[in-house]
Amino acid sequence: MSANSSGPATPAGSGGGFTLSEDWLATIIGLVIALIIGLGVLGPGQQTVTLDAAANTTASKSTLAISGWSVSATLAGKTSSISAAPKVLQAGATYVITCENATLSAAQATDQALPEGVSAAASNRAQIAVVNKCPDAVRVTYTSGAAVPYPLFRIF
Amino acid sequence: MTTTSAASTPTPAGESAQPSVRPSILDLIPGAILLIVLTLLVAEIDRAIANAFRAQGVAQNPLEYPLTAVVIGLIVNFILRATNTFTRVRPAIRTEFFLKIGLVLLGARISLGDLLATGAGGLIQALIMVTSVFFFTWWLGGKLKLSDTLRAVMSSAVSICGVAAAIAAAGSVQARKEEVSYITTLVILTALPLMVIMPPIAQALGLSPTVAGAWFGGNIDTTAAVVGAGTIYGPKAQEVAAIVKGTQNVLIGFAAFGLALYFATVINRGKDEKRPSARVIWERFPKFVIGFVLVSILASVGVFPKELTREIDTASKWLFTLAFVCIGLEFSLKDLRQAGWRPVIVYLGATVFNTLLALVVSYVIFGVVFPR
Repeated sequence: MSANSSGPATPAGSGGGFTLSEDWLATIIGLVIALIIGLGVLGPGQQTVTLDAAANTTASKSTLAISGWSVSATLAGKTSSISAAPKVLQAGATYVITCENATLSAAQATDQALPEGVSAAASNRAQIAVVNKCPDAVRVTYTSGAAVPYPLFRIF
Repeated sequence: MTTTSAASTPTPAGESAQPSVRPSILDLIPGAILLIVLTLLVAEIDRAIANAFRAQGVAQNPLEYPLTAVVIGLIVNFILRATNTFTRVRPAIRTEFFLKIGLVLLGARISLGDLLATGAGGLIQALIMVTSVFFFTWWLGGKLKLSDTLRAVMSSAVSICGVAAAIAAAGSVQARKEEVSYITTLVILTALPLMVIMPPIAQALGLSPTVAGAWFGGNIDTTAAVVGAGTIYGPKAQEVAAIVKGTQNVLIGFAAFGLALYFATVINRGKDEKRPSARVIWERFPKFVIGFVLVSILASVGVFPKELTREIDTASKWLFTLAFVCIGLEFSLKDLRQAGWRPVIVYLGATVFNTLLALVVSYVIFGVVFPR
């Protein structure tokens, strides 16, 4: 296949191949890239799940069951660590992050021992719950990487 | 697969001043490697600059990546020409090609509603601008006694969309290849400074991102520089600038058809010229606009999830960076020196006229008639 600068995509005459204009070529390549990324062939894209739990409340959210999450948390607006925070979320699993005595800790819950107000995770998704027994607000943020991982840097 | 894009030959009016010889895959490899390395370098430098500004308490990097990319391209251009190695990488330098792919991908960020709303205003603006600027340039070129073919190529370049319009017009009026490369140089020479100075001027004038984007799209001649100026001003300005420029690009076909008809029936009357068919309009129609609209529709109706449209947008930035590096790489003053001062005066006069008129028209259309 060859391409010239303009004009329609036309079958060439006898002996010739198929001629595609640069304009059409750019359009087709653009569409193919958009479809490959947009339909999730390379991955689900960057995911961000934020859970806000006021003092003595519980918050939960359903999310994709994927690996490679980075986790951060704040307690009363200050950065706080979560002990044993899961970075790999399994399908059908519920992960409970509890704030108690100004400390955040995480554990996987069984269906029989789900916190009050938290339903079981869907079979193809994971669920994160924040049970806040502290007197201050807790925010937990789960972030996954981009659909296309750039090995050298995350551009722009 | 190989591609060619017109440049040295005006006849198959195509898209950009790119090499006219059809390169093989092997010819493309050195340039492609260089472009990839330079693009990665631009991103790294851009990140370092942003971090440096952040450290000084400036959250937004004022030196946006288009500027970094063009400067890197210009520096490497100088080195390549000084070492006589430019021709080895030339086949891979395809500004318009990378830009068009990037524009198709940019469609993911623009909702169909925005596209229709901005496109409607953009079409009105494009009709006013193209008509006024074309005939002003044609008139001024006549006053300074430029050849009819050079006037036609220049008028199309200034009024519609720079290089692509120049080549389309050249094909219609059978202009000489020197005229095309000369106009190409003028287009780039004026577009680069405009890309840099228009955003701060728009800022100083207090223009909204929509009006500023429409101003960039209606005035700057190359689509790459339009996108660059919009990027510097902000995401909304970039969107509007791209849509307005895309709308203007659509008029290439009509201008090419009109010129071919005018030259066949008036300028070259009695010279056995064939009358052009309306097919010229479709042949010159920028097909990437179709891709842009299609991607916008797919994103708008939810085929692409929101998280993934962000990734498509990132991909478009990579392509734009490639295009901006290419702009710096292909810049050359050689053709300009050979052509003399009169065409330069006409071109600059037309650019000033274009800039002022575009400011008024974009303000009226996007600030008063369709305020957004």
